[in-house]
Amino acid sequence: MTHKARVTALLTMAFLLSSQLGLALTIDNRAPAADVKMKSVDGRELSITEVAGAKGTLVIFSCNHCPWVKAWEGRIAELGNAYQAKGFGVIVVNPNDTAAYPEDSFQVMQERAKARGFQFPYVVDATSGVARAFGATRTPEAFLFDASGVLVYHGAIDDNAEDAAKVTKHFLRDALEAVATGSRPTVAETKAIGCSIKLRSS
Amino acid sequence: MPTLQRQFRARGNVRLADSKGVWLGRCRAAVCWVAGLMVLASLACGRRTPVSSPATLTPATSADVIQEVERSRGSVVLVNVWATWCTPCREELPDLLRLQRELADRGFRLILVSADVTSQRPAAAALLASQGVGFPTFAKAESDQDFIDGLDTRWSGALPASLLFDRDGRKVAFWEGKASYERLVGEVKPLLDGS
Repeated sequence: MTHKARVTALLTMAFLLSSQLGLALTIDNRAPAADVKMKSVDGRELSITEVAGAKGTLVIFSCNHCPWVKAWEGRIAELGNAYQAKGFGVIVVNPNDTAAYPEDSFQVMQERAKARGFQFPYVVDATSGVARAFGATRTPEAFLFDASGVLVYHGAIDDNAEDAAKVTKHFLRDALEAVATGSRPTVAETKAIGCSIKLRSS
Repeated sequence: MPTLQRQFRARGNVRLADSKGVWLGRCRAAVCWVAGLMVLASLACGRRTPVSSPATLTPATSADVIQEVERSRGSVVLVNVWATWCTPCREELPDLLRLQRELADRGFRLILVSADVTSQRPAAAALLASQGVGFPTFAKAESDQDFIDGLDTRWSGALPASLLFDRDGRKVAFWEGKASYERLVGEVKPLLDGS
């Protein structure tokens, strides 16, 4: 095997292995599975590439049943709507196995999007393949890409699921603001407790 | 007089003559009945007798949890982070408790840490009580970020999460997601035998 082929093989194996180990997409990488079409609550089939915005792109893995999502959902709607209006692409992805979790059905997604006033697409990751490609493990989990399409923020919405009034660190909002002004977020990766993503069996 | 009535009459006379002894006997009988019923109930419910007073959850930071692990040196310790709202956590709990019951006398300790928000702690205590948990358990009392990284930087924050420590207090395994009873046994038993 040539040196180049060997390196390519090693890198491919490393990528595949990291996906299997569930290691999440790292900062400065581009969105994986970006051309995968996902059905939105309004009936359109959309990919991350298609929704990408001039200012940047926000991908949030979310669902209907998780109490941490329910706690943060109002804030997700506010941020998503506000920054979509400012030129960001925004897409919220539900990768969960609806057979195991019927509350994550498409119909409930439609009801939820309407109730929360989502002005951005809420889509179904029909095979959980997009979640796997991102290495996403919980809901909600945010991935923010800058105008050039590289990951600059990954993690939590903010530091207080239970009470919006008690938030001291607005992680995602601050990251969006930074990217909107052409800077890098000062805090790039954060963690929060959340529901495990209920991957569909492949 | 019919024979039965004569017998009752006779017994009544005996009671009057030795009331203290009879009352002790009655109390003993009552205790035996209650104990017997409880045993039957627990057998019927798979040996899970609900405890009458809900387990109180001791607030704990990740450092506190690690300290608990260190205090248990000599035992194999499994730390499990769960929450009432987490379906796979609730599904896994009976298997964790089964493991704890079966292996406690071989030096195995289960440390349960609820990651429920504060307002849900009473529900967490009630759930544990209904599962027959009478041993001390803990509740996360730290910011998510610090708690998660304090326990394991590989942990994304998804629940359930489990950390396994050998008898020397060394962390030997970490996993996210629900584990079957078979997997739990497979992870824990070699550590019990090996030392």
